Amino acid sequence: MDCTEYLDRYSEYDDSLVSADEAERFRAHMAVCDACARYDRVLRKGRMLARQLPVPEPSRDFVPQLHMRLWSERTRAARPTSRIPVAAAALPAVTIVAALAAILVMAPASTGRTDTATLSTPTSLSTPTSLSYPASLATPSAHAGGMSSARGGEGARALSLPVVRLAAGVARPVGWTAPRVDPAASGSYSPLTMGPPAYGGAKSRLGVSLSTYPSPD
Amino acid sequence: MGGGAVGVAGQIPVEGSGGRGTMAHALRIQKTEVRSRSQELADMSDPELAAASLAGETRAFTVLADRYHARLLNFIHRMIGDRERAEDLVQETFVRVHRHLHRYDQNRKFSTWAYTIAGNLAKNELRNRSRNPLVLFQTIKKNWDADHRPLEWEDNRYRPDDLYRKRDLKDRVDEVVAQLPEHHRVVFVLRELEGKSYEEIADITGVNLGTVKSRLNRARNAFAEQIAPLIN
Repeated sequence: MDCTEYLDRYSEYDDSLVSADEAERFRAHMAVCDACARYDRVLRKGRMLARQLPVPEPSRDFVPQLHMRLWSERTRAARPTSRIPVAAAALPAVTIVAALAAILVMAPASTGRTDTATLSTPTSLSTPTSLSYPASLATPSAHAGGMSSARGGEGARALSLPVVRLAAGVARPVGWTAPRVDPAASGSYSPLTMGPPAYGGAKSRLGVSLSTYPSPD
Repeated sequence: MGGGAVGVAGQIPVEGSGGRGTMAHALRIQKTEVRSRSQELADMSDPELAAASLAGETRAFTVLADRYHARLLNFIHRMIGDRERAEDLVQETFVRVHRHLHRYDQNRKFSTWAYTIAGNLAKNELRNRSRNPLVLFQTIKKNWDADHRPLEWEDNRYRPDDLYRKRDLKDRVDEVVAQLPEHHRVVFVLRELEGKSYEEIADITGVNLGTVKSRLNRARNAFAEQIAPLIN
């Protein structure tokens, strides 16, 4: 045996993985080679020192924390889980959001410049006719069909008209009375005339008529 | 009140008990039962404790965890060199063991399974630390050199005047172990400090027996070269 073989196979000898004859070869080599004999001594001593290295002490709260985590784990495992996958549970919400987005996109897209002009700030409150509005919206009965074609659907009308009327009512000065509008005379009606004529209809505290359509005089 | 007056502190007479039955007596019986069950659990083998835990006895898993947490802490600490982080990883090891206890193969040693999980967590921790490309490259190069350099022993004689002698010998041994390349350090620690067999080390590290022998031999060679000047 030479030193190269000794070093290459030392672990087999050290861990008793060689036959008795092989072990004898190792011992015979150590008997004639001081360097390899010292190698054996150094490793045995070093191993003994390594085994005497201090074992890290767990911190004081290590064991309580470990028990707490195990308890949490057991509680989590015992909790009944929903059978509805997360994706399926989110589907209704996603559908609603998509529908609202579609309504909002379709509403301005299907109306022309007229609509934009109609909803712009009125130049004069006393001349409601200056606030042009699609003729199809002149009568309440036309609102449904008109709005549906002009604004992209009943839903959009339901959203926009009350909102606009409410906004107009809030903006109305104190004591101001909405001018009377005769739809038949003007040929048009605009929600921006600050609500319905003062015919004595019920009004909210903000002065916004609680009725949807103006009542003819 | 039937059964006599309350006299001695802690003793509450129980009506209809047919005598001077006391709550303290009932508590003593309960304590004795708990203690005997605890003793039973402590005497159980690892597979028996695992089976008891799966059957719903929560204390069984606690006994199992208490049995191994110190050794796993030593192992992970030697691997990553950070005691606080090692504690976190030991806790994570037991959480994972608990979560997957139903998959534990009772033909396999429980400690081998626990060490495998712990070793993987330690390896991931070290991998996460070396995300810097330069550090990663240096680590790969160091590991390659450690695996391919020829084994050497230059008859490093004992040098009492050597600089290293001024430090504590055990500190130096600690440093040498910590500086071994990771894939050598794990087999060295498992063999020399934890006393695992070659087969267990192969199981824990996921490499074959031949590779375990080769890595262990190289780890020992590097270890001997470093500590030789300190040993007479």
